[in-house]
Amino acid sequence: MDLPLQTWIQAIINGLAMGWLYVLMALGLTLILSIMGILQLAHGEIYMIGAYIVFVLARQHGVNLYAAIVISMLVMAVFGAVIERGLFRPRPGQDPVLPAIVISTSLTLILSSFAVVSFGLYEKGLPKLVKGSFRVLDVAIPRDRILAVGISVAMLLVVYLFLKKTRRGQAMVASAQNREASYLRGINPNHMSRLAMMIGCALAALAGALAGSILVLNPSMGGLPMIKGLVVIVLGGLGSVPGAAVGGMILGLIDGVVPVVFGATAAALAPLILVILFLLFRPRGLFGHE
Amino acid sequence: MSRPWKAGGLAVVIILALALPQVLRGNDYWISVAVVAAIMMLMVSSLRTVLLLNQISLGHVGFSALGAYGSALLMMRVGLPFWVTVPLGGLMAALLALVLSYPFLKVRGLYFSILTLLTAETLRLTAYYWPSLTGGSWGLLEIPPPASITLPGIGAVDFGTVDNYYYVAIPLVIICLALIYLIEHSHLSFKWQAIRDGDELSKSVGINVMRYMVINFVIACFFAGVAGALFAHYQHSLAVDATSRFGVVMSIYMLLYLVVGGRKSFAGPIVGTVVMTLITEFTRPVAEYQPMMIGVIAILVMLLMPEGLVELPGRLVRWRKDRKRGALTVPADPGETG
Repeated sequence: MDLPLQTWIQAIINGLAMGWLYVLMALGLTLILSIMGILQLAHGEIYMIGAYIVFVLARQHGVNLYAAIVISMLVMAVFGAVIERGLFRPRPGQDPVLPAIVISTSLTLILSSFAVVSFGLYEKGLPKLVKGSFRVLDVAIPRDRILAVGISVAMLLVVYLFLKKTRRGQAMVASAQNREASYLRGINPNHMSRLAMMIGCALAALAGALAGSILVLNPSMGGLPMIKGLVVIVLGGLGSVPGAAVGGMILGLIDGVVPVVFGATAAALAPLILVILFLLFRPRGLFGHE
Repeated sequence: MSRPWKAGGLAVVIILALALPQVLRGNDYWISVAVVAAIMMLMVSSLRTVLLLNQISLGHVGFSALGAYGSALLMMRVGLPFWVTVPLGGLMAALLALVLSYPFLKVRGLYFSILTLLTAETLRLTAYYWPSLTGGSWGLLEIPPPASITLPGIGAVDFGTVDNYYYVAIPLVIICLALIYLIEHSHLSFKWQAIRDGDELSKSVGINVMRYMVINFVIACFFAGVAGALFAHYQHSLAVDATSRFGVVMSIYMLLYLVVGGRKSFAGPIVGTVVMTLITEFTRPVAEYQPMMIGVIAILVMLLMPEGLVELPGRLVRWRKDRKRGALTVPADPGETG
């Protein structure tokens, strides 16, 4: 490949920035899936609405961008708690899988058409996280992408430490490992579900805001990151935080590098082929347990 | 319902379906709505076939897209006639399903849903980024209708018009639905039921679980591909941008139509598609709120009537019986509310 160094570095940086957005999506999805046992298919729309909340606050009401992102995360966390109680709380004697898929896909339709009605189909932009770029080895590296990756890594560490070191986080892990046994130890599974949904929605809102700042906003922006987030779970292993990080970076680098080197068709096919190889040779994913 | 009633009802529905263009004479809009609805019925029914094994495919639309593009390209590039390309479109979808089924069905459950979703998006993006074959973002244009045929006594019949295409699409859809019905009531169905109710137990009595799951997925994808092909030659153009008929949203609609109609009964997809199509048509003036309404309807049906609309008559009958018996008796079926 005779591509200039600039192109390579740019492709890798873009890929990593996208990849860490997938990591944030995957973290929420994997928490929800391992604790509640359901697919939250409206997660992409939570991401989109989170980004639009930042847009309304930062662009239309002049709130500081970072304050707007924090507010958006809090709002979406509350929204997560509301939909967990109102729509996803399993009913006794009912298998939760199909209802959750139907309800979350319905929620997808509702939220995305809400966004179309309120904000229109046109693309919108958020202010940049930081302006400008710095130079390494004579190659310009945009600061905002590096900062987005930095924020995402920090967030991942916070979630990881929360799950490993705090009582509440350990309770969540226990509930994910064995709902009944942890119930006997006094852990209320419904509280754990609510917590998982709140954390997941806040992370999705953050990812949406970062994406809106690096790229653009539109009502259908959430579909692809949600699918990628789910694929990260397959690659990294269900419930694994390191798995989510590695899987997300792999998918992001595919997004960033493969189109430049092999063309867009190859980039479209690559994740599916990768996933099939994983399923054939390592169905538990990189870090999954039996 | 008893057998003769069912057969009679079926005959009436088929006759009504075939007479519809005469009733709507000249109203091409509603005839085209009926064609699209019929194709949708086939797609939703084929999705239900997958659900018979408790597998939820979120990427069924991808197989329809493959059938649609396959059939259209075979006709345009190779010059094969419609009657050959439509089944070939279905076979292409079935072949892809066969290739994917082993890795996908090895993991099953929610992973299967994730993987089918990824497959549909992959197919869509591949078509989008392969302009030399598929027209890329412009889409595939000027897909020919079935070649006109000459019938004795009527003369040449041109299938480019909506009501003549109706008479191609509807019988094909009816044949496909009949085939799905027969498959569902063949010896295969016992194995499928066994696998759904407990696959460890099925294995222990000597059922090759993987084999029957693969057969199920391949059959379902074949019919999805045929439905896509029928759509291609009706619409004369195909597009694969994110908001098109082959986007993720379409998979969502298919699933919601199925659940609203009733996933447990064969009539469910048909009832669901008819009801939802009528709702969509009568809310055209507020089109931007349509997805919202459909979402709300699906959530309400899921929470209040998890068996779908086909359950409604049975519920009404039971309710009337309970009222006649008086309020003192214990509810007939306490498990119902469980």
